[in-house]
Amino acid sequence: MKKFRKLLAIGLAAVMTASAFAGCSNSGGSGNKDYDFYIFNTKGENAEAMQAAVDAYEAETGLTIKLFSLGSGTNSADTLRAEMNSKNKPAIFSIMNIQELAEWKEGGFATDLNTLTSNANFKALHDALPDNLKLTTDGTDSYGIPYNVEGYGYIVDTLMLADLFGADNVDAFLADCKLSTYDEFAAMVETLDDYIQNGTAGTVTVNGNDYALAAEKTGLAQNLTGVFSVAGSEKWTYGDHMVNIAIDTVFPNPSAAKNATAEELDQLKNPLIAYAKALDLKTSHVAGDAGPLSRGPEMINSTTNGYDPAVQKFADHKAIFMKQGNWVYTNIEKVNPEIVKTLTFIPVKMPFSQSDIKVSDLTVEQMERSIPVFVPNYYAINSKVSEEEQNMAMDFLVWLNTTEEGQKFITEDMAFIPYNADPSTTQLGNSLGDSIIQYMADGDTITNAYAGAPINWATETLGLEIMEKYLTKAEWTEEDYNAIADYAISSWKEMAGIQ
Amino acid sequence: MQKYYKKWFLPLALPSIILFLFVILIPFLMGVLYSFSAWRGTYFAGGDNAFEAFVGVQNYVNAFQNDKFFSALVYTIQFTLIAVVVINVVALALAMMVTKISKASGIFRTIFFMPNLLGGLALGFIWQFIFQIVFSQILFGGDNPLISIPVLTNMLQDHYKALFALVILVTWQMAGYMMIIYITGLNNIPTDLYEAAEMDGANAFQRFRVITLPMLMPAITIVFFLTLANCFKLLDQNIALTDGNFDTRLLATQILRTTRDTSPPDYGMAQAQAVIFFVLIAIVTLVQVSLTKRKEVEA
Repeated sequence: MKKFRKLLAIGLAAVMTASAFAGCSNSGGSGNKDYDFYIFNTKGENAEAMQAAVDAYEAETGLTIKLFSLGSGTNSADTLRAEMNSKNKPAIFSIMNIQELAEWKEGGFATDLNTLTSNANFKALHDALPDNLKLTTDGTDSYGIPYNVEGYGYIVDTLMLADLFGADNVDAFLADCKLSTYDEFAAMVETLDDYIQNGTAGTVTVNGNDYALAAEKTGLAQNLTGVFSVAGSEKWTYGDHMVNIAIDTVFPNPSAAKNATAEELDQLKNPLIAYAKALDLKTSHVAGDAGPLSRGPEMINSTTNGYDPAVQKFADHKAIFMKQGNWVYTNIEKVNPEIVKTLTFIPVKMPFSQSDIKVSDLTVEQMERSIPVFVPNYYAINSKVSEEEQNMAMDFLVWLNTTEEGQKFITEDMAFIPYNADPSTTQLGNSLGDSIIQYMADGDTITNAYAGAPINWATETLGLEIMEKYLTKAEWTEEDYNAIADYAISSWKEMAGIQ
Repeated sequence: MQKYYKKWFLPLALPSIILFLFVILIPFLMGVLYSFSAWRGTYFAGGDNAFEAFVGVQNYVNAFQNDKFFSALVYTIQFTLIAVVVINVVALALAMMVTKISKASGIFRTIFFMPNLLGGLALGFIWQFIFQIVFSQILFGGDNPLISIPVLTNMLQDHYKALFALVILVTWQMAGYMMIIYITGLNNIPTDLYEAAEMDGANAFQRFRVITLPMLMPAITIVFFLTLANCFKLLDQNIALTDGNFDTRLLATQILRTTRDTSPPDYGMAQAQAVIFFVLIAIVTLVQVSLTKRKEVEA
């Protein structure tokens, strides 16, 4: 009996030890892979749709594909790094932008797609990729096939516009609003604010045309507490996409921003002052729960004015505009399925003058009527997997992006705007997506150049500074505008190591 | 019994030793090695392994020249000093209260101990709500406060106020656990000592100073060690409460965020910060344990 107990103990100890090793080998990789190739998908939002696409492709080709999708909102970088350290590396992985590319390029993981010439179909797919959508450091190299395109601007509550200006005027108002100048837009915001807070019915002028506000607040207009819904506690609200509009005046694309010189950054001074003024206008007319929300501690309170409360306020018709991208669609839909059907974009306007704009062929008018449309994520091919796996990965990307079946997964299941969509024929049946397609069809798009700014500059540096120092301050002066612009430029220079 | 331990020591201890070896010791040693190299998380910059990408003490120099690391270091020391004192005072006070009362002491013990069962992130978000809504908009601030105390409003929006907010949180979390240790310590003090002192005419404060404190030294050693080490290493609560806004990063948060602050991610420097962090905690806690142990007395 004693001997048995001893044996049992040793046996248990051995099992525990073995399981400890097994734990290592699962992540460490034993080298025996039970799939043909491996896709690492960073977008948790489309996990199910991607699985459906992979299943369909497996059924068609008989291949076994390993698909890993992260949970929505999870930071993917650490997980991807762990997978890259294992023996069984993904053949397709994701790169978000030129800043993220630096790591995978230096580490020898990202493949320059120009060098992949053996797969004729893939070469054709890559050759057809427009230059302005490429993930490139210098204009010639190219490291990814776009997931899709996205866009952002002020999302407009058109149901509200019907109550403000009359249902018949909504389309004309929106068309004029899109083309309006910053000064007209700013005057309109003041008029609307006066109407919301004091009930003063006035007339707004956009693109030279007058629109009279209804004499009495009726219907949805009674809910209004402010003009804009702003997620005040989120640092990215102030940096990222907002500041991008100003950066677009000097840098035509992310790689230009990544390779910025000191002179170019100094040229951002006036555009950044314009950005500060536009931000002042926006954050001075924010909708609160029961009344206007002024700048101060409550504005940056994450419990009452974070991302979710801001979406909630917009969906509850408490504000007319919210600066966001088409990705917010499902979140608004969850709160209010009615409002989401009629949403549309108007551009974020800033008081630029033509002399501020350094990008050739770009005019103030063009900027006023355009929204940024960009690629949020790219499929990259891993250099560190076998050529055989690379080839299968390329075939899959060709299938996904060129066949009718593959496209169906992108537009219908993932609710993405395909990067290669023909704007004249594509209809998504998603109000915000279709609005972006309309901008693309009109040629009224600008880029997302801020993606080339130093990592963490937009959110953690500029956005943080503005939130901590200025969003708690009731009045902004000319000096404040100047200080914001100077801080933005000096911190960029410091982070990029430019003297 | 002695024989039993002698015979079974190895088989019973082996799994833990092996786990410790593979999960803690080897990764730790590799980490120290990597802190001297240009490690980027998935590759070494300028070489195929840590030796080819050896950069000497450059990562340590960079860490000390990093403003964020330095300010996190200062903030962590400030926080730890205040938190250790507050937690100990509160825990000891609770312990003495609970041992004094005759009724319902079990219920109080349980209630005081409960916060300790919650995870750091959950706690952080609960207290974020308390600081942002209950404190700022109901009790001490807002349109119609119960008592207007501006210092206690918007505590998460100021560098120093956030420090005290964090102290309040960790005290609430840790004091109950430390109380249990103090209760055990208090119960081990022979009552005849107090009786003798009382007969000699010693008042309550004197009895506390010359009997309770010296006799409690073993418990104090443990409680100081636990609070010191845990406050230094605090991470979840810091992230959930302020996420480092208003310059409130503690060292652990700073190390975690270093790889996001840099592109390509500078894991080498993050690792160097972690090694500095380890050495610091080791020195502080060893000094503390040896100091307080010297004060321990036998009954």
